[in-house]
Amino acid sequence: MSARALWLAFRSGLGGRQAFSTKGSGRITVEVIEHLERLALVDFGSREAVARLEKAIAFADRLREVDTDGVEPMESVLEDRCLYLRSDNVAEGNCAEELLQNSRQVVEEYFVAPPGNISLPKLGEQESFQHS
Amino acid sequence: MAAPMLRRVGLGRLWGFAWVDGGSGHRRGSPNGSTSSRRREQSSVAQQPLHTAQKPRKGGHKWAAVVGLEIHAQISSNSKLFSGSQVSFMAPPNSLVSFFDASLPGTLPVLNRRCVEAAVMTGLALNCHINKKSLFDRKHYFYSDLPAGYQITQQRLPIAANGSLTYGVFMGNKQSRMATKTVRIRQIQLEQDSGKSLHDDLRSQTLIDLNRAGVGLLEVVLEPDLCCGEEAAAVIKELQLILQALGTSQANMAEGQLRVDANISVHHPGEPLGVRTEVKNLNSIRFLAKAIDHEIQRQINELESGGEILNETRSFDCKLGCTVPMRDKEGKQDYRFMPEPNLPPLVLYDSASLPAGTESQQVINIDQIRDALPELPSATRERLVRRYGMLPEHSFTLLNEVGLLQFFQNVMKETRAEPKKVTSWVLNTLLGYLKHHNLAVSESSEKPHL
Repeated sequence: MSARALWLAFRSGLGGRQAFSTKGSGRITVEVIEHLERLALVDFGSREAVARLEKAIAFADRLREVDTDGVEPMESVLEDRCLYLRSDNVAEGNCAEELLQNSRQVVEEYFVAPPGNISLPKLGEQESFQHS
Repeated sequence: MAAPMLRRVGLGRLWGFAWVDGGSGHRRGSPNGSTSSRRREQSSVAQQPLHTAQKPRKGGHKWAAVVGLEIHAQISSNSKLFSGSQVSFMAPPNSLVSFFDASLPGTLPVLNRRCVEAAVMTGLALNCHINKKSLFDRKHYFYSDLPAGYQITQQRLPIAANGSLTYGVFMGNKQSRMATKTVRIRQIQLEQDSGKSLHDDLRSQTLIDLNRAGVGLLEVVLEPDLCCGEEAAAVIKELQLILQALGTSQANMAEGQLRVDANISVHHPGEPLGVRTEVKNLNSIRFLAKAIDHEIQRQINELESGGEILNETRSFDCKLGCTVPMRDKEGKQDYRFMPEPNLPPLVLYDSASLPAGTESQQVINIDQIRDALPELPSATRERLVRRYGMLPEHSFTLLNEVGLLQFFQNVMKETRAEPKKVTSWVLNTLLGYLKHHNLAVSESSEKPHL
């Protein structure tokens, strides 16, 4: 069986409702993976990728060990900087030709895109989707 | 948490919907990332069993409708919100697009001062509290006319909040009396507009023009204090007049400078709020009123015949005169809001807090802006009533017709006739004539000289 097929079989088998806990084992459920794949269009193609994600979360979780009682949370690491305000002048644009070169397909100075969004197929349909 | 009605399910982008985007509701597949996003994740579906479980009673049982509006107004500025490309309605496709607007790597947003001023002016005119510190966030969703894959908006802390808009509604059958009502403003936020999609169904493709991508928008979120199409129309008209008086937006609905989405639900007074639907693609005030009233009636009919209301997005078909569901394949949308990492908080000052020795171009003083505010429509109307002794209703009509006020004032300058006579002539004779011949004031050949 291909690695991909093995991975899909693994995912189908991982139906159990393991709670996603940030402490302890840090397991991520299939639902979360699917949700993330749909939202961010990333491909968790293998068990290793998910394991890496779990490790990354565990690493970040160590922040919780810091005692932040009574400390005002920051909004951004830039919060002590001034937000630069630009004057309302026209200084850019007029480079349609250059920008259109980035597009695989162009029709009369328009970018060409597929008609609407194409939803990711659900788990189980993915094998055939990969090959299409 | 506020009333149950305000639990929203974001429907996000509407996939595969094929019509030509005339600049109106297409991108607004998302009922916005304002405070509603906090409730976004909760489904209103839980409400439905309540309705289907009730036996519908015909007649006798009154219905109340709840209408909440979300308005997007294009800011009238020379350049875009975060880039220096020009803002213009008509231009060759993709000619007003900078590298940042096209989301090329290595580009960064730079905030346009004029857009901030426009937001503060609008907030002050709508009696809002101006947040001295506001934050920018990213709202993620995929669509071809959003090159970055996210929109920069203000979800956590918008620039203005908690205001009010007072408006007049004609009462009675003869439209002779005027009542003043108030709608609360939940918040005003700055955000980016998206590009335009032209759907080519024949070749199964979409053509993208990014000229509009990155243009500054003011999103004005109203509390659901309205109850019918007429009130909504009056609110939008007043908002248009205010934005035009301020010069912050030309607010022309036909040109897509003002876009309105309506959230509508019905319930029996005293009972919990109903499931709400969102109506989009409303590009004129008249259609707005029709669509809202139609949707209210549709919901009532549906519930009275034992059906249920789905939490969905609908579009107004002006030819059919009714709302139709918009196709969407995605249910709940998760926008994964995150702080915009490239922009520090936006800090505004007033005269008391103005830091010494700072470059005036880099600071915005709320008090200074407040002092420089032009006369608002409500003040203009009061002035007309005081000075010329006309009825409030007349002052509304004078302001609602484009150019009519100017004409009236020109006549008053030239004539020694009594103001009441002039008012009557302008409003009855002239306006009647214009309406009959379907002319705008500017098109009429009447000159102010008597």
